[in-house]
Amino acid sequence: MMIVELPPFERLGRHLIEGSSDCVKLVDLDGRIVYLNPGGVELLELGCTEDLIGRTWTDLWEGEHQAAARAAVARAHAGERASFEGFCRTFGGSDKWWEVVVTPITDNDGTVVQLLAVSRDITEKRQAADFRAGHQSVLEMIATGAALDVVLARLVQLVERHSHGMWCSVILLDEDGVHLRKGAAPSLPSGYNEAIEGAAIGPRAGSCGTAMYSGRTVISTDVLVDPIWEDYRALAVTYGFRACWSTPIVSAQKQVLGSFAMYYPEPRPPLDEERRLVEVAANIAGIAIEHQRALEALRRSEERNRAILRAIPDWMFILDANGVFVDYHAKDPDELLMPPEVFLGKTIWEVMPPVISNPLATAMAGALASDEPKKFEYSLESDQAQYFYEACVVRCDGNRLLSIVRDISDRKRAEMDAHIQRRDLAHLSRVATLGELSGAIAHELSQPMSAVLINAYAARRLLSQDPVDLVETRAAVEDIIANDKRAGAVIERLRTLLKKGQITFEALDLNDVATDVLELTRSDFLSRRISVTTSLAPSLPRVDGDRVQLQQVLLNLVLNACESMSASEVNERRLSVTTTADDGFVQIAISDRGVGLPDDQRAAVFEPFVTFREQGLGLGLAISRSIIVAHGGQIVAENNQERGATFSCRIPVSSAETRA
Amino acid sequence: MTLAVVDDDVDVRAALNRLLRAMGHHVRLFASAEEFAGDRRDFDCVILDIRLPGLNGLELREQMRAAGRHLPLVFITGDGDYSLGHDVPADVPTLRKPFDEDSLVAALGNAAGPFVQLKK
Repeated sequence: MMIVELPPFERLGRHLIEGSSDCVKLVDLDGRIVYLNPGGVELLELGCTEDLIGRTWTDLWEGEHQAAARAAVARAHAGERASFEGFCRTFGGSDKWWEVVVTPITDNDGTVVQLLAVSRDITEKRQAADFRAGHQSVLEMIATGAALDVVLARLVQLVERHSHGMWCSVILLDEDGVHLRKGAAPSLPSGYNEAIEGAAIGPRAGSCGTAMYSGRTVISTDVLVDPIWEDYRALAVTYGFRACWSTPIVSAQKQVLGSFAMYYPEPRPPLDEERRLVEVAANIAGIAIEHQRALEALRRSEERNRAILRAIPDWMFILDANGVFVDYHAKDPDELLMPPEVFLGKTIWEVMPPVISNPLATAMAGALASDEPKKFEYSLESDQAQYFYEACVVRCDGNRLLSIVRDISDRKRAEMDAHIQRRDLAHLSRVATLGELSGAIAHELSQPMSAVLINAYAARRLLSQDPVDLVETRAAVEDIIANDKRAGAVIERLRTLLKKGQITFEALDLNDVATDVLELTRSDFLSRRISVTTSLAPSLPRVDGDRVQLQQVLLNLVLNACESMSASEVNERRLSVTTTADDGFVQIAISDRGVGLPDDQRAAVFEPFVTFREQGLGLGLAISRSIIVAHGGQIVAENNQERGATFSCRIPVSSAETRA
Repeated sequence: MTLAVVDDDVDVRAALNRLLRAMGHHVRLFASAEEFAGDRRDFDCVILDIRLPGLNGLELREQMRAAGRHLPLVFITGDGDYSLGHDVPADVPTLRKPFDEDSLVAALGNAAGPFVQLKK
């Protein structure tokens, strides 16, 4: 075993102290510095040791750091080893952080005679920690949704604090991918920031514009020389920039979002530390921008959803599987059947009338079982008016149900109006042709009235004879009664014709007229279980006509066709409407698969009061013919080869159409 | 007088039959022009409806004149002055339904007057 001979302990200590790179001081019991090692001279950027000897050590510190130093000294006086971390500027003006250990030096009796204060420069460690903390706080700001410009400004300041003698800037790339937008550059002159706002990126667009354009870090060690700064050189001179490096800020999807740049007042290349720092800063800026864009997208999407909800007049209710109201949406909650606080948390059976809760429960069960939306309609009366609603129930969120309720009162009323319109239309058209039919009507009335009068004269003569022929007289009176009733029946049939209507000719598309009529009769077809096929010629020439009258003709033909099929098998109840154009005429044909026309009545069907329908005045086809004739056309009835009849109307093409 | 009534309306026919018999006339009833044309008997006057199914009253008159059968006529009509596209002949007494008893008597007298007086 080798034995090393150590120097005497004091000499060893002196070597250690003098060779230490830490700042080592001896302080007397009055607090004055009595010794400073060479490492301390260097660290404190002093000229020589003497500058510090004799000064009170704790006076070198300021504020809270001085308090910490005094506390440490006090504890050392008491015989304890004390340590603290503190900030103290060097005599050369450098900001430094120190880790200080104060140790009491005792004599053989254990009495404290001096203090040993060893300060280690921990500035870099502190800066790294400070940067980490700053980094952390920026990330926290991002996470808590701070505004992007505030986050970026904080990031810029963090980097600037960490790396002296330069200014940083974040520039954003517009979503158009071309133009520069203000990001954060709190330390750069606002004139410069404004000058580059809206500039386009490119291969020679300064450090930032070029970095965004190329997607790579761009380093200009001297902007007065670098060709990419050509267009911005004057600006750089104005504001005193000589070196600049910029790193593109890139999203996770490799999309360029902006750039992070460092500007220097003198020409220089970046240090490795500075290259690393700009990468880290660009990375954080990328997170901030992406987060902000994601939030913006979410906000826009939410705003869109809210706008959609605001625009939707429907009411929406969320119900759980037990029928409890969980949530609702209503543009105007006052319009709901009851205030939300009344129904929320309650079941449909507790708060809804059976007219709603019963079908709703069925629809809910159906929606839960099949995943298909289930619809039902209901109506409610309020304020002497009837309101109609349509509810659609669909499963959502697992076992919850969304019920969308729509006020369909307007549609229902329109359907009812259409119903009334159909009735009025038939009436109006009959009235319109009353004049044409007056001869036929007068003739029809004159027969029974003549019989009445003649019988009355006969009865008067019979009564004046002697003896009175009572049998013949009674027969005359019976005939009077019968014929009066017959006249009354005609008058009854005419009652519906006692109004006047306006007739207006205009250029009409018969397809439109047919569509209107089929629209009006749609519910009729449904109740009669008749299927309708249409074959409407495209771009049909228009005809000159009165819309209401032509509607009446088609309506009459359609209703006749329907009537003729009332006894047919359901699968035989087929109606077809065909429009064609040829030779200056437009033809519309209504074909049924009903009973057809009796052979001996084919010509007579268009005569007034000839009817093969149980209900009806027997005027419909007569009116139809007179209308079509008034339109310069023809109406023809034919039995189909196989089954049923076809009524065809031919109307000349409008003169407006032929001119065109 | 012996009168013919040509009218397609059964009630009008029956009523005229009753009235004319009560007046003391002999009456024969026909439901159509064709039915009347088939009867070759003589009549003092023919009460003829204008609007008839098949051959109408105006056509029957023309046919009779063409055949040299000159019978006194009284037209009865439910239409106005203009019937079936023709003016009612001015030289034939015409009664518009419903007509009163006096008009009928006058018309009959007018149409068949000379013959009736000759017979008396």
